[in-house]
Amino acid sequence: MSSKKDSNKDGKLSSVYRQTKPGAPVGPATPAKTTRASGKRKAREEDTTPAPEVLARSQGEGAVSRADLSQDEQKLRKFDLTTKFGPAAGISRLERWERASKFGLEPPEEVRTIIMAAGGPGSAADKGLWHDRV
Amino acid sequence: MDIERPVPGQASRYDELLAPSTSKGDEASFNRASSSYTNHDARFRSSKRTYDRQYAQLYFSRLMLLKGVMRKRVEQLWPGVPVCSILEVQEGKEVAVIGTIYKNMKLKPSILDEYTKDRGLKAALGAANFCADDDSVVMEDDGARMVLSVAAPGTMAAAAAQQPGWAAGDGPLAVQELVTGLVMAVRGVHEPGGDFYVSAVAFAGLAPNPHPLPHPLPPLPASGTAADAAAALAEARPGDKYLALVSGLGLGGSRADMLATQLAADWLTGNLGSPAEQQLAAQVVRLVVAGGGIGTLEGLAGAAATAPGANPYNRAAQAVALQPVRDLDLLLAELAAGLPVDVMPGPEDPANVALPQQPMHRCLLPGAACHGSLVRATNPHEFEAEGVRLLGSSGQNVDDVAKYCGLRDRLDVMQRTLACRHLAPTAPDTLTCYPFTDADPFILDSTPHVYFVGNQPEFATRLVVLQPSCAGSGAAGSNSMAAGAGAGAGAGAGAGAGAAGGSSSGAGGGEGQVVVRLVAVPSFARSGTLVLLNLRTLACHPVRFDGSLGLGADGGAGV
Repeated sequence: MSSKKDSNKDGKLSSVYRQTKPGAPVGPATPAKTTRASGKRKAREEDTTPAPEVLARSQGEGAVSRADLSQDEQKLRKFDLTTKFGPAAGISRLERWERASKFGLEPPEEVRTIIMAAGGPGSAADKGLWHDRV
Repeated sequence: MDIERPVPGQASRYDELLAPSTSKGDEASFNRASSSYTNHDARFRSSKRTYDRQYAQLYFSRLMLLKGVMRKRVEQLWPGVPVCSILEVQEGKEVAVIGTIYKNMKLKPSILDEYTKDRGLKAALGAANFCADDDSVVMEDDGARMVLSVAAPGTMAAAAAQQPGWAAGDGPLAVQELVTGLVMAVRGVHEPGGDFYVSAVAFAGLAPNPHPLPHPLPPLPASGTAADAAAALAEARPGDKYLALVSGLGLGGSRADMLATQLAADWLTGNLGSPAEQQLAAQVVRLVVAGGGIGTLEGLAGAAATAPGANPYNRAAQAVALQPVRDLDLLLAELAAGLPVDVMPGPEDPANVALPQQPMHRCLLPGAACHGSLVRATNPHEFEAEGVRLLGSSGQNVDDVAKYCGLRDRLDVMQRTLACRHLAPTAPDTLTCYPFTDADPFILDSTPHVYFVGNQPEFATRLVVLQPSCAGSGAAGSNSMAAGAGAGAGAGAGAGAGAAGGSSSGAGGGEGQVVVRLVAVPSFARSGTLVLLNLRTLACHPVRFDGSLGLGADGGAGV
């Protein structure tokens, strides 16, 4: 016991205290973003090992708290959830960004740079929160 | 050689036909007039089509694209009233809100009814009108939706409604005239604990015509009687060029009268009639087939086809299915050899069903597509001829709006859709449409000079002259009818509804006026009528072909 604590002293404590129950739905304690994202399709399974961002969206096991998400991913999610730029379901993030800037809604420029840095259209960062879910 | 010729003073119309044939040298030959033509279909074409998008994107794009125009209009009509979104509406404060309309209609057929109720009456209604007296209207924008109601007397909203200059009583929210998908602005008050009470509504109004007409229009007669229509025809000068519009040929269907169709084709190519008629035909520079080339294939739905064991893919069944397309190809080849033809797909033609319909494929019209004069157009189709911009559709958009609103006159429906700057407001709710994500090609940024719609029940036309987005009466926005004489109530033709215009709105002053000629092209299979539009004066008159001999048939222009 004490050795375990010692080994984690300089690591993140959240990895020790995180509790996940296999197969159970995400409870209200988790932040709103992941709850909403993982609310659909309880039976969904990922075949291959997905990227951390994708894991974050999936149900039950692998649900992460907001602190675990990178800054970039948080910004991308915030962009998805802002209704001012239009519905996000069924459209890729880059297309939605281009459309928002076409209509003069001034979407944040950094969202675009993040997506382009991650590989542009078609990359994992380009797939919105509702990709393959709706 | 002495030949008996008719006395010149008593020459009647068909004397040249009855006279003995003249020698070769005397034969008059006519050259078809030519005109400039530019195709503007690019915005309706799409190269790749992905259908896994949701329609919410289309509604969002529509609202965003029209919001700028609506905001300017609201500032112009109701200065001082703040504009806010639905989420920001506070109780008790008079505001203006811009959003898209959704109309709750209990008679509207819904796919869910299959599971909840039995079919009964709804299935039997067919293509009838689905309006009821208790339809209600909801307004949506990108954040929320709210129910619109009309003020009850004695409330604050009613008091606001009775101020001078604003619409009064139960007038402002004419639910019967609205359809789902229109973008409009409402002004009113959100009562505490109640709905949003509307005191006035506004539409975007007619878009301006950025391209001026090459020739000024002649002054129109005040009323639209037949005598004045003849006077309008008399205005036509010898050098005038005409555009022929036809729709609903219905080849292969049970209603098609092949003799009338052949008469029309012969007349257009100049093979029919006396030299006077041929002269008129020579002035037709283009033919537009506004959809409906193929008729309903009843043969496919007949007893033989649906009997158990019937194979729809065997050679006999395929021959039945393909024969109308071959007939259309033959007809178009004959026409295209004589004059430039634009063919648009219609509701039952072999093209995709979702608007905007893409042009019919080359391989469907092998004979006709060889001619360079055949243009396979989209539906809706926009083009320019002789400096006149025309926009037309095969009728699905107007038919669908007419099913869901209480406007009886098709020209009123057309005018209303132009005033809302949207060709097909009911798409995608009840009219199949491609799920666009960042554009809406049906939005009209500029009003064309001629708006024609095919496959209508009868011929009707109206000339609308308005100030762009003019105030008119505060309530109806620019819905007021302008002084327009419907030229062309030809004798013996379908009901030429040359409506005597009401009071003209917007005093005189030709600057910046919007001029639109609305034409409802009747279905040829039903009426045997095609429409000639004079490209200089924008006057139009019907030409009727009747194949039933001995019933007073006139194989020529009805004047």
